Amino acid sequence: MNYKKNILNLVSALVLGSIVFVACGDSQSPGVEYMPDMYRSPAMEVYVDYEFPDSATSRKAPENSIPIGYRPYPYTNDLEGFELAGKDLRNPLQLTERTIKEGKKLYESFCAHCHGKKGLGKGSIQNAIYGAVPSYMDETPNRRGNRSMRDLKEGHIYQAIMYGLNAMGPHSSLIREQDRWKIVAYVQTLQGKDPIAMQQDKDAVKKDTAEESIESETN
Amino acid sequence: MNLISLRTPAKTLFTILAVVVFSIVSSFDLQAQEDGEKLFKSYCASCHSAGNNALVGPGLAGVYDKYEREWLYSWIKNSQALIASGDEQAVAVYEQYNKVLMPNQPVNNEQIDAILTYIKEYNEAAPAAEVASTDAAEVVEEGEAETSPYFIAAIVIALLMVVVILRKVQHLMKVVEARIKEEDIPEELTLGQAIGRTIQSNKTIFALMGIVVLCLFAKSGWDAAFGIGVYEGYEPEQPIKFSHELHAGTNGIDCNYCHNSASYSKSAGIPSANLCMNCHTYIQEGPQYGKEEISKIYAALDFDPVTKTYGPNQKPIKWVKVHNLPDHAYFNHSQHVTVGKIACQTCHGPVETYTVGKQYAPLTMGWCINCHRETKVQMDGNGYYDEIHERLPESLKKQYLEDGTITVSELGGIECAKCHY
Repeated sequence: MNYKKNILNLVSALVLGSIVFVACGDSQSPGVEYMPDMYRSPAMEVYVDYEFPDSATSRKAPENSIPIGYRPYPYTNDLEGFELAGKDLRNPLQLTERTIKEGKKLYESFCAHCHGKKGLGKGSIQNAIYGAVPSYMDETPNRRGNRSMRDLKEGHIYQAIMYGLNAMGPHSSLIREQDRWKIVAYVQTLQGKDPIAMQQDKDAVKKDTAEESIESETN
Repeated sequence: MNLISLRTPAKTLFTILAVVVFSIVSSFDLQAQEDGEKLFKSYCASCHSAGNNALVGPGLAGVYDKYEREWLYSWIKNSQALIASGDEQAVAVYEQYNKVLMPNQPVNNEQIDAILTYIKEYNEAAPAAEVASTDAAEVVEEGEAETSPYFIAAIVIALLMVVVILRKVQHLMKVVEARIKEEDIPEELTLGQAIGRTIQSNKTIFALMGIVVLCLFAKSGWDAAFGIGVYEGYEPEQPIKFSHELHAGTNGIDCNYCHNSASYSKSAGIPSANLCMNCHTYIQEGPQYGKEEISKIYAALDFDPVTKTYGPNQKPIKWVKVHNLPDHAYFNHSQHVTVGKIACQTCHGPVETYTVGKQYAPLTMGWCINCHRETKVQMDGNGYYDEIHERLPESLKKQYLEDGTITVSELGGIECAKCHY
């Protein structure tokens, strides 16, 4: 009879086991974990709850700490700062065909859904609020500082990416500094300009004026 | 609708006339409205809505009644001069909307009239459109009902009752039979005894059935053991019903916009709430859940959607992590996205169709290795390996370069220490 009892025990264990496993097919639960001590990292991993009082894993940096590679941005988020950025701010990258190409790819990720792939303001966003994005080729002087979209200088465009403008939000936390400048250069091509040639011209002008000022100082 | 109920010929004639006159008048109106719409979109819409909701500037519904036409003309053409002149209304509007200056608009009085007509028409048409959209939303809400465990339990109980009743009936028949034949009345068997007797009289069949059942259990147990630690299909409910279908599908937002760290970091990143606010500062109502879900972002940021200011009581949104790789396996997004140029969908499936985020791939080691064996490395335009390949001894050249393709595994992509260290 012992033999029979063993079989009965085995069957009931299997039934119980399979019930436990089947119960794990729930989409709300990740399932059974094998050796949790090898799964859970003692070092901090992103988006895992380490039971901080506010449950946020990404802790705030100590006060007054500065990120690596941080550069201060002196222009303020108002009309004055906007005008100043337009006047003084220049693209620090040496522009080539390649930077423009990279800018295009970044533009398509970060801008095209509102501004459209060709910069005509016809993006894929369906919401009516973003249904009237202006074209970069628009020449009506009704934008900030009574400029047209086509008049915007590289500094203006960079300032708009940093702080946002009107219904556009600030994008400085999404896009890194170098990438912002690549996007600026590509947007200039969408304005119908040639940023590479413009940069070369400016470099030439800069050299001339620098030489002149040295001359005037010596005089 | 009322046209049918008017019976007298005179009245009918009158209504027909009225309809004709109205349609002529409204066709002129329609012309103006179309121009107005164009003008509105190119001059006003980047800061104003035609409805009641404030964007950068106030919503324009009702401005045509609220202000005098002449005042509107001068405001739209040069608001800064009007504020400087100390006009009370102008200063009040300027103060109310956070002292944001409205640029001068190069439009003439007729164009302003057309814009105002459009705004008026828009607001008269708006309520009807709203009703239609809420109807559509209700239809979407209906889901499929699942089979409840109570229903299954009820069926099992009903079947057991049938078994008990049938056994009673069978026993009664035997009793009746015995009475007729004037034999001893047989004892009623317990359920256990009955089952025991049936098994004893059909030993082979029951033994076979037992073996089959055992095999089935063993197989399901084996399969389940393989599923330990594999979270494929994990689809947890999130604190905010964010839909990838709406954002990445319908609205065509690139994956990189929100998950921008995927291209230069180990983790693809869950966007912080400030990124949501790039659009949701102004988009305060969604097509599926209305204001309910979007207001949860506002609650987390302590944001006031009317004044558009942030308060001090901010708390993080507790998103549920879906993809959990064990600590002993290293995975880096930037290697795959930036260097390997693998599309997000290769591992995450058609995310742009998901309403709830889920784990598409099994993320098992076999799955990783398979892809590393099959994926060809893009050698075109990459000068890095040219010289190494040139210098390789003939035997290795034959082994690796002859077929013209180099897979990830041939570059060491299945070495243990690439992922486990």
